[in-house]
Amino acid sequence: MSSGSIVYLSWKHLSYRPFQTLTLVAAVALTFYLPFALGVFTTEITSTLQDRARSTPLLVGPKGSSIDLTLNSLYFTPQELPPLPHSAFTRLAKHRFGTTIPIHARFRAGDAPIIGTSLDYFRHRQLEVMDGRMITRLGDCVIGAQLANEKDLKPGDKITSSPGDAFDLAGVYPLRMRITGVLAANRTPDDDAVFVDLKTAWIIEGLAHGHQDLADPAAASAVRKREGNVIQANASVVEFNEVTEPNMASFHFHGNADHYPLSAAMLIPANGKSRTLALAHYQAETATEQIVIPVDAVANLTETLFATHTMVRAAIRLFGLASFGLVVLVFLLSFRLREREMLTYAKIGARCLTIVVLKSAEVAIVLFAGIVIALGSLLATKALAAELLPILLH
Amino acid sequence: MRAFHVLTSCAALLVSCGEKKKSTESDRGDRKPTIAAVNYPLAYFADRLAGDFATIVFEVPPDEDPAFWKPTDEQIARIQQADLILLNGASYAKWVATASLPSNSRVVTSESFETTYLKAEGVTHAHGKKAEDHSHGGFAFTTWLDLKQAAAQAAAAANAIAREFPDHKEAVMDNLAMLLNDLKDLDRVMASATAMLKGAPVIASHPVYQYWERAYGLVVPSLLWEPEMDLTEEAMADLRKIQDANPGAAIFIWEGEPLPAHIEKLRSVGLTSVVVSPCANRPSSGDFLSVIKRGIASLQALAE
Repeated sequence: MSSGSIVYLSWKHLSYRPFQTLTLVAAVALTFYLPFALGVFTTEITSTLQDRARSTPLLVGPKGSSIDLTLNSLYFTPQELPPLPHSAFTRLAKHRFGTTIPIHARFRAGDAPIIGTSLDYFRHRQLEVMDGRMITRLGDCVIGAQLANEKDLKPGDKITSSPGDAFDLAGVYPLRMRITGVLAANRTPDDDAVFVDLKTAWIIEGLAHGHQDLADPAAASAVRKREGNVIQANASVVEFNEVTEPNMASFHFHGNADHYPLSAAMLIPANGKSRTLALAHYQAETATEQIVIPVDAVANLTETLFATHTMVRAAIRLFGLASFGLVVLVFLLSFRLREREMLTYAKIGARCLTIVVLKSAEVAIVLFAGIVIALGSLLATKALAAELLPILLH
Repeated sequence: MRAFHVLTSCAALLVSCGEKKKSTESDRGDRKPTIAAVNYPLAYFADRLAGDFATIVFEVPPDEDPAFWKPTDEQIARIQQADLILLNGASYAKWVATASLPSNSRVVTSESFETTYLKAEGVTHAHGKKAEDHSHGGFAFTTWLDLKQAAAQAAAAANAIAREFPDHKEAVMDNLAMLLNDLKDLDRVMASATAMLKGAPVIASHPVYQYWERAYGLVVPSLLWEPEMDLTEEAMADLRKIQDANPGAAIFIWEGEPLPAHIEKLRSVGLTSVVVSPCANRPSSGDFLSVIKRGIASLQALAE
């Protein structure tokens, strides 16, 4: 019997039972695909984490967990550490180690983090405004592309900060912010964030506010006491929950600016020497802040990720082995059921070897189809991993 | 538990992650450097220091006071693009407090003497939970009328320019040396010209001479007059109050050229008008040095 006839007969048999064949092919494909796909996604996650960390050379923040500081500053997870006083940021800037960028990531507008920063952040991250224009004043914000898409927001719309504590009736008023632009997507957490000037973040924090002019006769009912140039207001003073052109001049800050809070400061050292000096500066025992190399913090994080990944991969391999065993069992049972068919082949002159080759060909076709599908899926997964990851995690 | 926390954080933060752009320092390329200034003295200093290689951006229209000018969004956007933004400090240019400017491009030129800022009068009020008093008056801001402070501001601008454009450092420092010489000469002549004013108070039309007063040992009570305003009965009553509180005052300092009628009216109450312009905005003729020299010449003319 020629090899062509053997393949023909095997194919005919496999196509006679399409459901059984497809199940076997799918089982083989999944057995090969899953462990490798897990590897692809883990590599993608690690690479994404490390890329963002690599583009943030150094972080200065309050003492505590370096991972919490990194996650909060780079990925805008909720702030776990105490605030970094603004005086620490100004001290850092005065050292002139390089470009310093403030990060205030405490508040949210719904689910979207509100990031108070300076325009240097956009330059450093190469974030460009795709629609509209950059923030120019208090109360302005630009939003990430993903957020704009999800919430159907565009320049000219308003977005309101969420109150920190719904039960704190005397707490901070939500601030209605003017969306001036939508940033081009860069497939980082920036896509989901609301960016404001640091001073706007401090308004949300309640450190600055605008209110009716207490010297104005119209505000007489809000005045509790007037002594010379000093006016004390009562609780009825009208505070503005939105910064507009007419009321902008009334916004002012209270308290000592040195104590205003930040989450962290990004530091992009001017050169290697500045980097070393900055690292050394914060190693001193008297240092009240810590300096973190985000790449190292992320490496610690990915080590944990890798440990878990190894466990999951081992489990999938065991699962794969079991699946493969089942495939073998299915084939063996199938061959047993087809004993009479094989006897017929023998009676019409097929040699024992030919029958073995015939059976092997069926197994080979199923294995080949499974492996080809697994390889194709892996290639597709690799190419689309960046797009697939957010969808899968959502 | 820790690993779980880390992993859940990872999952959450990676929801929006995919690939990313590589971050590099912004590249100026072939674009001509730009330096923005919030008032004319700083724009003049920047021009003297870096005018050869940089474009000086000074957006304030000629008829506006830069201290109270309100830029449009488009004007702020242009200023945001500057490689350096020279600020005066001392709460000068109220718009700066509400505008978004890149923190690393900002240079507060009066930082070296910020501990000696003078407080300006303003209504103080308190409200809210902590009821802390605060003033909307802020600081006196015409810092450059003390010409030693002007020199310090010029030096701060030069250092910032040299840091930002290291290729031009030598030229900037040479230009600074010449500018400092000019300012030193001006300061010496100003001290000499104001020496004869020390005997009696000098009344000023506007509260912008506080640093001039302190630097040259003068007593300068001020009104809130503009050169072109009507001198109403109410305005003259305010003047009389100041004259009563400062006996012996015989000279009245104007920020800008007053109407001839004003000069006559003040002469009738025993005051001689002199123009000492702070030159906060670009003059219609001449430059910062020539305008200050004109003020000095007016003071010297009084002595003669």
